[in-house]
Amino acid sequence: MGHRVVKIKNPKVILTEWVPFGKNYMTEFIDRITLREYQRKRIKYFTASEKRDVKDKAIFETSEYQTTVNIIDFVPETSVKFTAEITGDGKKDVFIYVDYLGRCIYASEIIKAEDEKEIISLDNLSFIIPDLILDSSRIMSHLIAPPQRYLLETLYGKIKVYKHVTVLTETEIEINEYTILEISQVIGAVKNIIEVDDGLIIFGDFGIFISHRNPEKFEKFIYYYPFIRSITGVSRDLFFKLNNIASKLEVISSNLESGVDLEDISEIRGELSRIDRELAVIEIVCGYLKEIIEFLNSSYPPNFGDFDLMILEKVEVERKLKRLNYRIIEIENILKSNDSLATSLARLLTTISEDLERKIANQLAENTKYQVALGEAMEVLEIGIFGVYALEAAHVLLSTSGKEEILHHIKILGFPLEFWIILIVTILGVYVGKIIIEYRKKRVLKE
Amino acid sequence: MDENKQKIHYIINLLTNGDKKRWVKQTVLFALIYYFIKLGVLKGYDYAPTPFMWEDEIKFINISYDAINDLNFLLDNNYLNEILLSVKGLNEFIVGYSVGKKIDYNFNQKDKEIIDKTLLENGKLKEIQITEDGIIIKSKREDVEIKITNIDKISYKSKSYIMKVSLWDTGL
Repeated sequence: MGHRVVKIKNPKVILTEWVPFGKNYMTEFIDRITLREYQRKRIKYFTASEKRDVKDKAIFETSEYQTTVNIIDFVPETSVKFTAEITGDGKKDVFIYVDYLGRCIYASEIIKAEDEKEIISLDNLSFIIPDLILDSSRIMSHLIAPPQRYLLETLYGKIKVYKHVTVLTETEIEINEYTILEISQVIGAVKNIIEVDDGLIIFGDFGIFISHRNPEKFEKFIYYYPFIRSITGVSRDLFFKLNNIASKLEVISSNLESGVDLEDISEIRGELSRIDRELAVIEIVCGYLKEIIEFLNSSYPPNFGDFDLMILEKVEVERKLKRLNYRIIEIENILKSNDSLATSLARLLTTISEDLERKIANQLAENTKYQVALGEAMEVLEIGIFGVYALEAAHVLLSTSGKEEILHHIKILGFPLEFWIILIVTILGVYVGKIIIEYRKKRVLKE
Repeated sequence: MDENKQKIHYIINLLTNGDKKRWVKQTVLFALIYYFIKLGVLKGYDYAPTPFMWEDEIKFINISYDAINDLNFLLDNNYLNEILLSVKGLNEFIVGYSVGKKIDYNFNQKDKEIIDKTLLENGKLKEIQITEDGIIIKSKREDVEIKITNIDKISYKSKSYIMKVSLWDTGL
């Protein structure tokens, strides 16, 4: 891999993302990661597990990925700065800043990559960035509360891949076709380049690249602007998720129209319940975003110096913040319409399922009636067969006894005794047959 | 036109059989480009992990910005056509490419043989299946699995970069 055309000195990679926080979560977060005065010597390890059964185990094992934290400072209920070290795939140290708006900043300086020291090629850096993103996601999932993790996992899956990337360097870059391609590798396809104070800010699909002799000068900009892009990214993700849900609802709706069986119904019910959960998460996240966007709009311009305000103006932050307002209103509207569509489909599904169950019950009743009638006819037949066997037996016994002639001469009511014997035996046969069949029926029903 | 551009055009021409109504999925083309870079067929191309919506999930995939640049050149000059297909039940468009203007292919014969061997079997196109991690080129002899989400690991050292950040914008 790589031509290693563009190399930069000690690149700083700053990842920015939004994580659902508020003042309550922030207080809890600070409580969890800080140590009390009397615990100063202690090291706290943090990790997370997906296995729920771990709560019932007396002795449990954890993943090799564990995070330890060193607090730099914090403002109660508001923000915290710390360095976190993650162990697992080697040891890596990263600076983290989190505030109650949900702004999470992860900053690392790359000092060595393969055989390169200090001066690192963008080719190598492009393969380091996914690793930094993965580690920062792991660290945060170790530290945040389970409900926050649930919100993030519902939106992004186990690991959040997309984070805003800022690459900061003091190396001056000459812009040409080849360097732009190289820079695209670390911030995505280049969209815009602006010159600021003899330096460059290059905007890419998923990040920005800042080249300036005094990169620290841009810290306020990095603190502010990438967060707005992250919020924009989250609103885009919500919109995407809602569109996905709308597509799924469309498919469910056409499936219901074209007719479904009981198996389909339980599948659709599962899908609708998943959609319901996702809509609830989107509603919560949308609430957070709305609050943040309103705050950013109302507090614009931030309390920055002229230099930072000049850059914010150049990249039209005020207009972007206003646009975010409209986006969130649109998301709220789509959320409402998806919600009512999901509810009406769930109602329709219940009606269809009740109709189907009623139809099946009626069919079952018809079948039962038919079976009962058939069974009764069979009983009569079997009883008759018993009678025929008794008649045949009496007849054979009489003819083999040799007394047939004598019996023929004894008459009762004008009929020979032979006739009466056969008649009584046949009636008895029928009676015994009836008793046996009823007894067997009772036993089967009892079983 | 340089060799790499010709090769991209050739791959699309091969997969669509030159038929303008047939389209190669963008994801399949990206996976093939990554594979041919690894095989040394597309020389001088670089690739880098980039977040991309692969099979309805954002993943890091190995994308070549050099190849995208050349692809854009071919599209801008009508050597290739691009289509965005809207499908009921799908959130994103399916992006596809087909051939536009014909060109003469005069690139390295050995590279042509490798491309043909990868994509053809007894003169017929092999079946290509899209998976969660890339594509599988089916064959009677041996399937070729291209995992575009496999990101090369490189060893590096980093330290925390302490920023002077505080709640600047809130005044708290």
